[in-house]
Amino acid sequence: MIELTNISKTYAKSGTKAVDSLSLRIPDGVIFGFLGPNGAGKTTTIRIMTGAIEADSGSVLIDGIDLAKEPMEAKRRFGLVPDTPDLFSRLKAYEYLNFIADVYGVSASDRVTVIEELAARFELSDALKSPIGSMSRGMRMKLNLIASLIHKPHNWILDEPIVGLDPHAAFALKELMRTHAANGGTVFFSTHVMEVAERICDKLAIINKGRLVFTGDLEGLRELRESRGRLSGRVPLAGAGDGAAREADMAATESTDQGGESLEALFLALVEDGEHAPEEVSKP
Amino acid sequence: MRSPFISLLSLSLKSVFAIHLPTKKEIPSPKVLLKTFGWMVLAIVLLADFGFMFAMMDIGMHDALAPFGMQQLMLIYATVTASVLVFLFAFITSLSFFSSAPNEALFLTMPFKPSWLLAARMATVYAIEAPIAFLVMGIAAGVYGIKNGSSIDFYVWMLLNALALPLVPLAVSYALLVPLVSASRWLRRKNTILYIGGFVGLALALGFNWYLQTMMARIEDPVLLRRLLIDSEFNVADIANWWPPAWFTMTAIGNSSKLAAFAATLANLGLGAALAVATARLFGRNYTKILANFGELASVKGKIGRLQAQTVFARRPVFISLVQRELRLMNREPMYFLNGPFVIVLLPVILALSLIAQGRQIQEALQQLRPLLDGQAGYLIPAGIGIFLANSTSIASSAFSRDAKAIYVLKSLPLEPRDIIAAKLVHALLFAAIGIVFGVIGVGLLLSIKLIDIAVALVLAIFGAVALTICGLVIDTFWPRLSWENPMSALKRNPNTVMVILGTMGLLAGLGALSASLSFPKYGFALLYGTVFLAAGIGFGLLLFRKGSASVRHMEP
Repeated sequence: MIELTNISKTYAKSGTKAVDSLSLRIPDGVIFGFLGPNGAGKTTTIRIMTGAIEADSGSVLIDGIDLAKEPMEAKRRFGLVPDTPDLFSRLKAYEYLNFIADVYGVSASDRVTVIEELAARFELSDALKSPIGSMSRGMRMKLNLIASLIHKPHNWILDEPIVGLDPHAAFALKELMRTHAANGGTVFFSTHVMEVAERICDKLAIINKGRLVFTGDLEGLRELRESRGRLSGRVPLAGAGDGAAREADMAATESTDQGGESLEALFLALVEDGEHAPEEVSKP
Repeated sequence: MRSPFISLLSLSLKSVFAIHLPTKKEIPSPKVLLKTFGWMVLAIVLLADFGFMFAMMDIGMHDALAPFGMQQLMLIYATVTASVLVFLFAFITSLSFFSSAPNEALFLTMPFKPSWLLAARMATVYAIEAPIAFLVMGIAAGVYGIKNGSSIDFYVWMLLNALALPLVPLAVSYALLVPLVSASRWLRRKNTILYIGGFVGLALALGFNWYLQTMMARIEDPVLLRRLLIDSEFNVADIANWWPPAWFTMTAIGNSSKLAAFAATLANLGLGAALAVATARLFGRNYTKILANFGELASVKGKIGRLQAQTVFARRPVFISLVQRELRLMNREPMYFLNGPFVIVLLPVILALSLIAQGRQIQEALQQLRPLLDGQAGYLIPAGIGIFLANSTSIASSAFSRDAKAIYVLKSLPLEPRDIIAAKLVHALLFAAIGIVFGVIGVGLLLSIKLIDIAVALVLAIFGAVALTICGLVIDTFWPRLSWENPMSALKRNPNTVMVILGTMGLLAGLGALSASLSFPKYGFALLYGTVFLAAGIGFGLLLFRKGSASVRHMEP
């Protein structure tokens, strides 16, 4: 379980408030999607929850352990797939995996088992001797996926994991996410791909301009849209002035024909609404 | 609207000469002011350094030849020097630019003619070569013109021909390299190009050093000078006769008729431009094929078998793993390796070349220095060289800067910041140890220093090198340069490394001056400096390990 309480972060160099009073509770046994447009604060939030950067205020608990107070213990309880898989390009794939396994203290036999199984699943077995720099973006992402699971973490945090993956690997990843959650683990991932979020998320949160605009499940999101539309006296998704809202409108029209709004339409509309009413809303 | 070719050309030039001038808003910042001032001073010092070397050589040569009425030979010499230099630089720069082929490949998707892509690249190389020719020819023109009261025409022809000199070498370099790189899969790899470019570049630097040293020796001897210029079988005057750009240049400046001089200059520029255009047109298509088929790093196929896996995936202590990561990431990046650890080998080679090139003068100087070497200089000089070599790799002063965005990953792992710092320190100290051995023992043996003095120098160098290595790491831990696109920004263009190298040189020069002015017993200096280095090392160490962890926690690329 991961809990973020009142997290805020302003980058000193640019003065940009990337995350503003964000609170999230990611329970065990669920796949939690973290959605938001570019620059919304998704990666900053993930970096804060993994200890890569420090928040200006607020706290992060990983399985009840305070990341600020017991960073080593807290960090051992999650595996991270970063958004930039091209780091350490001069290392060979197996050297990188070995390094990560050493850091987590994984025994030789355990690391061989995990690496063999996951490399086979992601069709990376033939490339383990290659320098990371010689791999495609998708292959690097697969390598990071293996590295993130090498110590069998309870919490699995993934930053834009679908980008660059081929359909086979994307399918394998989704299966792994489902299995991880089914075994009682936590899966927290950020994505731009609404279709993926819609299909596999048990719960989701939407962030815009550093503020949480929604947290709950898909049904809750639909209800929220409808109630907002009634409250504001606007027809949901209609009459919006900019391109994003028009796209949402079109998507909504298409999906409503099929019996309900798509996540993409709801997301776009909510982000658009968030410009006018940024207060945090939570739905169970 | 600009033509696509002009836009491409402008982009190519900007990507190489990416000089950021401070904006009005940035100027009031003391940091920006200091940085701009520092870069300006560095540019002036570099220009003055090379300018001074060539000016002294030209003056020496002119004065040596003037009594025989042969001072015009110095112009032939300057023309040939400029031609050879731009040829070598054109070749090495053209070769090095192939390493940016993966980025350039994006242009293949845009509506550019193949010849435009090559022409834009050639123009960028020309923009690097032309100032070199201009500097060499300009200084020679100045020396000769002032001493002989030449007319303004002379300067005009010299400088216009200087602009023509790089064109033929540029065309020839690409005419050789494009088919070569195109035919060889091995050469179409970034690593190969970077290593070859790096080693050829170093050989060039060594050759240039050798040339300067030998020329200085020759200028003092008119017989040797005359032999080099006209008397030997392979002399400078002959090169000027068979190398067309040099011949045109000499015809232009040696002709009293303005029309003939103008015609020769025009022919020089025309020949160069025509060859450059022809090369771009002839080899453009092949060049685009290179861009399309350029590999960054070679992938290796093959599974790791069960038996092999037990060895490959053996568990190691975290700290060993961290040190190994540092070693691999530094030494496998050619730009880092050649400008970092390899410097430990390079600097002694340069020193050895100087000794060989100026053998007689050095031997004489050593004879005179012998009484001095029997005193404190006998251990202070090797210790100083050892300390300098140990800190010349810039490993410590670029330790965090080189990691840049990888810091995010490191910080998300269950690693204590002090362990990350310690691994970086151990990595730097490993190479510092090699530098100390090369510097102290190498110089000690070369100067026939007594064993006891070598031993004292070794201890002193260890104290000094450790203190300065920790100091370098302190600087890069508290003020790392974490945002960059080109890895060179983390090493060669990093103010931290420049500060540490220049600081070490300044410190050693200061200690040298102090040692010459103080009268201590012979080993009193060792005691004094050793104590200071030890205290500084402990101080920097405490600072690094007490405050460094907090700095790592706050790092945000």
